Amino acid sequence: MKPIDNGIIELFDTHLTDKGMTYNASIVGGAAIMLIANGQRPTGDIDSLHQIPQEIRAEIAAFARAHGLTPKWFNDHASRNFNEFVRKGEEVFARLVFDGKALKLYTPSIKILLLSKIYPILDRPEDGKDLQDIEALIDAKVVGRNDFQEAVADFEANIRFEDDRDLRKAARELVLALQVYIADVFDGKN
Amino acid sequence: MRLRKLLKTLDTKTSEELAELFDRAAWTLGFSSFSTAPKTPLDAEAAVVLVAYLVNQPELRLARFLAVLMNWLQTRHHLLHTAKLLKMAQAAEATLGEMPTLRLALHVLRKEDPKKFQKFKPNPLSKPFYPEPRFAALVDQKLKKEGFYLDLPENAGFRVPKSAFRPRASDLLSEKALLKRNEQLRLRLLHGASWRSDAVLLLRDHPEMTASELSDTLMLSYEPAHRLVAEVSRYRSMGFTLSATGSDG
Repeated sequence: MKPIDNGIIELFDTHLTDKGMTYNASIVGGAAIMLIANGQRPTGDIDSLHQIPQEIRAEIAAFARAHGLTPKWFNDHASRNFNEFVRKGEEVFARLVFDGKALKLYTPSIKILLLSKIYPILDRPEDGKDLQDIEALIDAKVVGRNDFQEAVADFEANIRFEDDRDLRKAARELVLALQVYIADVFDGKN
Repeated sequence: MRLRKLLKTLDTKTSEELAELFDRAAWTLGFSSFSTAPKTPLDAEAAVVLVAYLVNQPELRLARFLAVLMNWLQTRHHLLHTAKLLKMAQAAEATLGEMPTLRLALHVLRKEDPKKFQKFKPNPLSKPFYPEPRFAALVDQKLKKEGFYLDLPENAGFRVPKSAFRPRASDLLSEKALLKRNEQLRLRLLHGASWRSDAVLLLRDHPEMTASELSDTLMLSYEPAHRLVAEVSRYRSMGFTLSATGSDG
């Protein structure tokens, strides 16, 4: 598969270099999957796991204006859910996936990355993108059966303490569906 | 590009070719992307039809763009040529069979502008459509809780919850950026979405195009296509040229 063109990220790296700034971010979402697994077309935004510092935010906005992008093209919405899938001591800057002069993009540990794809399914089960992202990681051999099972077990353990009964019910359904999926995908492969 | 011909060859294309086709269609409509490489634009209505088809091909893993397409239709529907889109949608289903994502797209348009898209009356699906069938049980729970997307009746066949496809500004280029890149849509801002506007652009870029080819490309009946070719030919015979704005030069 031909690599997906990520020229905008390279241009932003040049932009930051020209401004004499540097920025390291840990990212999740489609852009992270594209940079790890290549072969998955992302929508054109990058989700940072941490709040983006004000001075970088200003450059993101300036860059967006110059290139006809929306200011949210590089955002930190995922930081609001940080505590859902990142536990104390877990590796957030685990893998360097874009090594620019000024911009370095990392992805968190595989478990965090998987959880960042599993939790949103509860909210948007109709949307195939989360499972397709997981599939891309499996195809790229970044995720194995044990990684996936561990992430599902972690999700199951965390969601058990939710107050919302409907949410717990939905989570049980999701765990069942993911277990079926794991069996389908890995049986015969491992 | 002749959509009818392309539709007939879609099943012979490799995943890579289909992905490239998607990139062109997405570029035409101004979906946000990390790519900086300019692409050759497609016809806007053909791009809508193709995206609707390609996002529903699981092996391409383009499911995330179904929400982007719905978002695009909600915010950019005023740029579309209604009659052409309807003809292309009918041609697509005649060739490829029932296309739930395309019918859903037509429902979105009808909801957004009932007057302009009043002729869009998608039939109910022959079987229920789940955008992600592997989570059908979860979707059914969600449907019970919140109801159906666009308040569609259950018998329409779309197992899509009301809150699906939330618009995200970051998914689309601004309208100005889109019009800057897409001349066909830019001309529509000036001349309206009409056969004439599209024909002038095509005949400017392909002066040798015949009435029959124009008719096939635009999915316009032969008689009006013939008239448009004759009118442009007469315009040219007087020494005028079609300029980049599609009017006079």
